Amino acid sequence: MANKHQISSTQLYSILFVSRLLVTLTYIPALGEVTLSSDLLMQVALYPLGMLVSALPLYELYKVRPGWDLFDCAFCVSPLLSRVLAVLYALFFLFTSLLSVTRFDLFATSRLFPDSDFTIFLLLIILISCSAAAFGLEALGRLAWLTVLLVSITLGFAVVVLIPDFDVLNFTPLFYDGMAPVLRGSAGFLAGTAETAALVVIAPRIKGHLAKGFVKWTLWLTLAMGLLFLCGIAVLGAFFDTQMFPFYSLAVLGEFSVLQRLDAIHTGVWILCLFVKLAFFTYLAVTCLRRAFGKRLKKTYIAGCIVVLGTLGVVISGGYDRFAAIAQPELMMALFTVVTVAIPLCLLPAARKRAKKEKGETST
Amino acid sequence: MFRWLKEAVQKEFAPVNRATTQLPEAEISASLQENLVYLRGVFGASFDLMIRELPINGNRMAFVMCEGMCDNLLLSHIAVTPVLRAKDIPREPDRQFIYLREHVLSGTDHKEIFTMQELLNLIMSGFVAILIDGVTRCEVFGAQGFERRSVNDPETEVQERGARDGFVETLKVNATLIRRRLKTPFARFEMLNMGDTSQTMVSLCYLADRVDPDILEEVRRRLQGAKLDMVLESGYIQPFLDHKGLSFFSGVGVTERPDTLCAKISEGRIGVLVDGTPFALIVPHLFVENFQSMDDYSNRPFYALFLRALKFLSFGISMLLPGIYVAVAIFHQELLPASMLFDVAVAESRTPFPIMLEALVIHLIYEIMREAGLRMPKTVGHAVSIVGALVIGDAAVTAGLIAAPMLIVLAVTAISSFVVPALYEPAAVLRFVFIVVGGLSGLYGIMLILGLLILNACSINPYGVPYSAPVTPFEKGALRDLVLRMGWKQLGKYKMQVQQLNGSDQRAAEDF
Repeated sequence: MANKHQISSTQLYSILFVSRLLVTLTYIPALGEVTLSSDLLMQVALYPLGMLVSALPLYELYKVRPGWDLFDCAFCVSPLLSRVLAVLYALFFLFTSLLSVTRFDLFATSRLFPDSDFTIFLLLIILISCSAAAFGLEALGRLAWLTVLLVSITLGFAVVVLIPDFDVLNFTPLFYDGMAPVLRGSAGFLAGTAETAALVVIAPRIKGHLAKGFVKWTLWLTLAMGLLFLCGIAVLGAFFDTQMFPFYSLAVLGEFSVLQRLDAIHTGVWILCLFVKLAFFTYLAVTCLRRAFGKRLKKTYIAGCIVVLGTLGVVISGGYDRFAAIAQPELMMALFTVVTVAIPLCLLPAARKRAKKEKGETST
Repeated sequence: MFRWLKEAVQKEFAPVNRATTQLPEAEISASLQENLVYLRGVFGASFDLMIRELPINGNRMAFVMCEGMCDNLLLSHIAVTPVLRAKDIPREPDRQFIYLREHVLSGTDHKEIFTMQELLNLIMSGFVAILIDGVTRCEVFGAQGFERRSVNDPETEVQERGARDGFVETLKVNATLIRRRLKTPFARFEMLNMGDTSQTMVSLCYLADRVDPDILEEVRRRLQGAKLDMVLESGYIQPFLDHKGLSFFSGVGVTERPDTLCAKISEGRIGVLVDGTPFALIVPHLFVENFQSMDDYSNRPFYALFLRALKFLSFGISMLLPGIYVAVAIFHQELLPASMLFDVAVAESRTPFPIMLEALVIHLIYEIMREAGLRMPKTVGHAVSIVGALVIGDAAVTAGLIAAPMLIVLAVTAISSFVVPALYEPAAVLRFVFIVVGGLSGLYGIMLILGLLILNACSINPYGVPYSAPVTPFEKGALRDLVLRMGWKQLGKYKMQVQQLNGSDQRAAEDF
């Protein structure tokens, strides 16, 4: 009988695709580096390079012993380190969820319900989405695949609907302000990709080729982001940078036959993506907590995550300033570097040494 | 966290110890008189125990049966008359027994039994038992003559093409209907009795060369472990076969058609027939099968594709349309074209109730009428039509209680719900959920709850097979028979086994 706890790489990368695309759909130009249109596209084009390079330490760690996750590798150094890292990653995943929740709150209060108190709905989303983590990774993977289908259809529909509004004059010359802002912006995109860190926990559970799937994911993500930015720039032009959520504004402008204002569809799809992301990152956080403190209290950990997210979500929500304080590009970059690159890189020698030792023991 | 609450509820509803209705095991006595006294004692004052005693060559014997369960003419022809006219019956009781069994009694359905429990079960199933004084065993033979419904068109699964025979209440007739279609020695029918009091016959039917032994064993284990007093319908045992956990969707299929059951068991599934009901169960059951019917396989592929797409669309409409209408009318009016928006606004402005309440009330009234139409005698069925159409439909709109657009939504929803009858139950309940959610939080709430619902469906794995298969985990080969149904020239080459689907226990999720 096959291993019940494995999921296919397609399912995993569907989750990661949906999760990352969520951030792009509510892209905030004010938090980015680049303001000129063509340079934004160049940022997207450089993004996959950064993704592949930054994932190398993780991949090398995975190659040492495919059945191990990062905490197993840390265990080679010391059991305490494994627990500490598990807690650290749990906090990171919770922080990522918090970012998504506050981003959603900002979006909802500035665009959807500007005159209403959104707190109840925010708490409801947190409660429902985080509780969904209890269904497990396999169910999430299956849902994510369906979500990818839906997102692809709506994205394709949106592009087709907006093509008549494309204006070539909206594109500016490349590298008008130099290469540096483009590179910084691309790094900013990279820093917003918390999904790579998820492989730290999930890698041993993937059936299929991890690296191939990662490359495919990166390319599809780049394509989707590229399409979105292309539409945004081609239709909105300079207006793109003045909007807080330009892709929402784009959806507002979209019309097809008697249907106008496709923003409801955009937001509906966005909420589904948010649901998947919150459920997934809560699952990751709970998995890490179970590694650190024991496997028995799964529902308690989920409840704890709901309480923490709900409390912080209510405290931090309520305005752009608070959101910008936690979503600073420098902070995001630092976190990304530590969890995705630095920690795996530091653990690599110890893991290799241990694997070599075990290989030596088995051969004798 | 809620363990204390769970324990309190379990304590409150703990099964009450009551006197067992199980009779102690008793062997058949050598004394005919003792056996007859035992039987009369067990049946008490019940009139339907019939005993006919006869002399046979210096000894005594008795025919034992239940009144009304046997065909008296048949019994007389195959047993009583031959016994009365038999010559050269030996004198020794054991030899008399063998002589009667091998030379006198005609008929084919014979069995030798040794216990009273078995004797009672069989005579209450229409068998006739022969007891001979001095013999500690009994011969039973079939002479069933109880009233049974003839094989007719199934009422709940109507097909345009396809056979006109459906299952009936008699299990053996149902088994015959299957055997006629599956002329293979691998078609197996395993019998077991369920229900401490009812002792209902239940049969597992499967193809031995295609079924998964682990799934079969699991089904057996669940049925044998089911503690029930009475089993009067297949719905009694359905929860025992279904997955654990709360869900609107069931991993157990139900059918009234033998051709459908044969098609399902040819894919490695297991059918469960229950005596006394024409509804057979099928495990494991997947979500997409709710949209399949025998007509799909009889019609041409282009029309089958059209029908399947229509079914998927109808399910979506029946579940979501009222909620979406309420959400759009309250929160997202910008989605409606201008002319339509004015018409809806004018119609709704005349009604005294909020749109959400209006939707809830009118759908509730529809469900009441539907249930009433199902239960009431046919002679007064016309009254329901008149009340429904004229009073509720026309008068309510004229009086300004309900808006006309809302009635149109109700009508479209109601008709759509009958396109996929297998999913009527979840659609009927979820409709109300989505109305409330749409009325409180618009399309965003609907998407959230829809996500949760789909996730719940994706988390179900009946007998290790993903309920959402073959859509997710995706199975490329299954595209032949998902929405598009390819022609039989291609479909005939594809032999699907449900336990081999992508993501099942036998085959953990693979990339495609």
